[in-house]
Amino acid sequence: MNHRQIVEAKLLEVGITLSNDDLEQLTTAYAALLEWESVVQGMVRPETEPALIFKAAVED
Amino acid sequence: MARSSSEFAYMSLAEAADLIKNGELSPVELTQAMVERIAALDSQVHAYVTVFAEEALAAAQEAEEQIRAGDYRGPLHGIPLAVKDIYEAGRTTGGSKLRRDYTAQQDCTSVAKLKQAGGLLLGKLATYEFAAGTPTLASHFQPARNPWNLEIDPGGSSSGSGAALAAGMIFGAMGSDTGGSIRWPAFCCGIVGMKATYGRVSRTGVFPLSWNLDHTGPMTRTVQDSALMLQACAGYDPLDPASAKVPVPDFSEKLGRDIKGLRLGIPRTLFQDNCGEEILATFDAAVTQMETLGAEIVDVESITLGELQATFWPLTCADAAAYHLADMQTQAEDYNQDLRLILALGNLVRGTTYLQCQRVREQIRTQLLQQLETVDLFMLPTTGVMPAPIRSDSPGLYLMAEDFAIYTPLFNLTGFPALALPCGFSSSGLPIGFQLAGRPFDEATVFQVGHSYEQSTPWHTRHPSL
Repeated sequence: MNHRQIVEAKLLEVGITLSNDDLEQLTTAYAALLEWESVVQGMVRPETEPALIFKAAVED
Repeated sequence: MARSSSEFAYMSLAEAADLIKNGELSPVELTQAMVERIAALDSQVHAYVTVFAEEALAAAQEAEEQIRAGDYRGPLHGIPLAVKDIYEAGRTTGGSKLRRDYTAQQDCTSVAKLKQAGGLLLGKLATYEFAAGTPTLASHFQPARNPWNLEIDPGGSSSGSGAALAAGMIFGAMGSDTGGSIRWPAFCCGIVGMKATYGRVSRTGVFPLSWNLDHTGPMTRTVQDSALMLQACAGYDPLDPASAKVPVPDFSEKLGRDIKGLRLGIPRTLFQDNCGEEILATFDAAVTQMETLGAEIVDVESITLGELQATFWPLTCADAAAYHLADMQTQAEDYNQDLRLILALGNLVRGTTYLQCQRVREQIRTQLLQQLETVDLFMLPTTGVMPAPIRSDSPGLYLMAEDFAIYTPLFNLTGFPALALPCGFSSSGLPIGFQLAGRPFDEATVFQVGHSYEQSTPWHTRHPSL
């Protein structure tokens, strides 16, 4: 599948339908997202845990 | 004899507060002056979505009676204020067709706190759609204009807040900042914007963009005013899951202290090669001025702009997509195009990518916290690009473009307090600014350095001619 097909399929999975113009722009953005993924993958260190929002305990 | 609105327009909040406290100025007169100025100018500036003129004047009358009776609440008492139209209070549109008819049932926490401090809510200010989507001339809600050049964007997403302050149509405003939405309009409009520490100011009743990265904070014309407003709205809120249960210090305590020996870390790797020449030159002049004031300048290591963008955007888009999923499934066409694209992109972010970004975010935060053991603050440009003209059509995903050099998201990822303030003007007469960022919950030191710079330079005294 090419990027356009992937984008359209993924959005349909979550019930989102967009115009052709939107899909064209989004396809370009998707390529940027994949590039960002690659950059972040190169930055991450094995020992690091994610920063997450949660509260482990009730505060006083 | 009544004084004209222009006499008050560029008064600082602190100056107005002193006059009110001493009985030399009536809150009613001050509020009426703002109402008149908005009536005269806002058809050009479009800073306001809704003006609560009658309610504010009634509240001003009540404030005057309270003060006369000896019940003076502090510097915000009787001062007209306004908030970004994502803060729930009365009609709250989010700058979107989807919320055009929505009225909040109660005030959000920040508005309640500002009113408790005696502030008068004069109106709701223009915002990019849901704090993200750039408005155009084709949008449901008119975009705010930059008072320095009405053809130019005032920056966003707290666009109306920046514009109203620069145009002298309010004394203090609240904004929100997920990736720069307080600090970029501060840059574009030549005003002061404080993105307080994550958790410092309640987000309860503020439309979310990204739960991970949303911050709230004041926007004002001076650093002192920012400290006064933050004093009123800071504090733990049990209704906000991200609210920090930490003491609220006196944010004004260090104002006026010199900055001799304070160390300012400059992360040049982030901006040196991508910042516009004029902005860089103006920033470097501000660095020189800091040295003149006695600060020590230190180069610090940094991630690159590309690394910042790669870490920031998947998080923001995914969070926003989750919040807006139901509306995207049923009325996607009612969003402005660029917000629709941001939200759609968020649905394409993999769970593993999201978590990798959160891991890298933790790494960045750890690195900067280590640096803050040897420097007191970070100093860097707010952005490397000047604002563009107001658009007639959607700009698409320009905010994410590789060449849209904005350095603000670094302190959304880390949660540190970051203050944007002016440091000069471009050759075309548009403001240029920089940012200072400090240790978590140490807004007082950030204000100290910002105030010292501000008071030694003329930028805060210059105003657009409207």
